[in-house]
Amino acid sequence: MRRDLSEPPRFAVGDRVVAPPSLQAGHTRLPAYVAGTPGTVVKVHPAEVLPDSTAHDLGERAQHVYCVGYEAQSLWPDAEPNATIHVDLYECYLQPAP
Amino acid sequence: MDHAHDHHHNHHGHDHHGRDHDHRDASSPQIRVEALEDLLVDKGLADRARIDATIGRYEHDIGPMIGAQLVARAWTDPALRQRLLTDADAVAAELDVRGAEIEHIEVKANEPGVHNVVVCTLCSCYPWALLGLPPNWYKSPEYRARAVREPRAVLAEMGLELDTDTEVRVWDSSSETRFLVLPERPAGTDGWSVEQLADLVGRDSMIGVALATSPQAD
Repeated sequence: MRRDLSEPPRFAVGDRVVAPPSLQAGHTRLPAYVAGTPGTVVKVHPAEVLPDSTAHDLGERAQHVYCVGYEAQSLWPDAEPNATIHVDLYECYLQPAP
Repeated sequence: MDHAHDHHHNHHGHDHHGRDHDHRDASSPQIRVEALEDLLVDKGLADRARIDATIGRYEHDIGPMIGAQLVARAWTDPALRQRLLTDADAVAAELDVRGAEIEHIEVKANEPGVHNVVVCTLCSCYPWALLGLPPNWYKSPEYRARAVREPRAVLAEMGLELDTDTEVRVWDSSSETRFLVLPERPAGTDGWSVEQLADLVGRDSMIGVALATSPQAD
């Protein structure tokens, strides 16, 4: 569900970000195949409640949501050339890429 | 809905391959769904008329024709196309396109050198209000895993060979955003009406695993 947040998004289009692997048990919308690989923010979506939290009745913890693009070959060295994989990620999953 | 052309479809047990579908096989989805429905009705938890009405809506009123209309209008109206690409939510609200699973829509346009394809690797998220119910293959573990890992190979197996120069953009529906692919308008359709054009826009072309139908292919 969409929510309006008073805090501005932490990341902007063009920023390099990385989602460390999730260490928590339970529901997540972080696909494991992008964890640990840097990608580039291509779009900022409307903010949403965090499914990782609502799935366990732990409150909404609404987040900014980013569409992050990954070069396929950065995810898998033997991936097909000329492909970009885009994944929508909640702000709390992301850190600036080193 | 385009049941006749959906080779993966196994809706309500109408499986023409027949091999793994036997009406006495208790593990068949049809038998199990019927048993569940009977139980819910017996216990007073569900109303059979409402179940039938819901199935009827998805068979007749909600389906890929809604997305196809949007695509055909975008082909004939450059201003609408531009707004669909930048703010599809506003266009949907204006056209009163509402319903399940389209809280936030993004439309991704194919163009020369760029091909878009949609998947949900975590489950089976899909823009129901624009495309109806997702086909079984969209929900299969094979499609969900392979569409990100080897999209060109998957598209080729589904009958769509892309040039190596063409960039593939895969959109994994991991948040509440739902994606619709705007296929390229086929050549030879100058002057066609929105209704004529919409007939060329199949469900699969809006998921990105096919192109819009060319008129000469009819």
